[in-house]
Amino acid sequence: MSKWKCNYCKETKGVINGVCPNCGPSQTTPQDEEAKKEAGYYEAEAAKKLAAEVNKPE
Amino acid sequence: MAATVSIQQAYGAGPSNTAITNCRFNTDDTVNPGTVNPLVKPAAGTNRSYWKTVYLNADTTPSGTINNLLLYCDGTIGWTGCTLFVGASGTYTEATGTPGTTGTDSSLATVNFERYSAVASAKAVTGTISNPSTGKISDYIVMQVDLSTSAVAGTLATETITIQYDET
Repeated sequence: MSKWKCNYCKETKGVINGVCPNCGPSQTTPQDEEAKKEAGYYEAEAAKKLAAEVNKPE
Repeated sequence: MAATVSIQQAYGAGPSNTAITNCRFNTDDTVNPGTVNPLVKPAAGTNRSYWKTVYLNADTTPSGTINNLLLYCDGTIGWTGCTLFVGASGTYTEATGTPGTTGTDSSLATVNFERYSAVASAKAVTGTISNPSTGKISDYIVMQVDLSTSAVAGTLATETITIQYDET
């Protein structure tokens, strides 16, 4: 099961992608590989690197 | 890669949250109610919908940041005898009222949506999210329909509202 942390109350127990048991709808940060995959983190990082390459001055 | 963004409707005491592609106004606190508990034209005075609460959500994280949220329509909500009001808040409040009759007057949804008629006159909505986070981006956007005695029976035409944002 993926692990998440609530950005507002910093809780990890019972937190899922975007929802915290304390805060309700929330911003959450992935805490393990599974959560990072669920968040699309690696795709976002790849896009960031590609953009940096494209925009690199020659 | 751009983030996957959805519009979520918050409802109930929790609240519960459901991704939506349309929001139907009626007289109970539900998502996609169909024709259950429709809006009721008043014999006199004003009846209201239950207020509906939505927010912008990042289902996947952006490469950088999502911010600069703007809310607007085309300037006309063409529902005869009905007025769509809007407001926003960082705090969720469950919609209340008398199911099948009228919603309680919202203290948040107080501005006629038609005022936000273009990008240049849009309502700025608080909200930002940055990599690697996911989840709720915007404040809660609260909308409510007020019905006058000149409201027209039947299903009203769909209207479009836009939430615009910047993404890096």
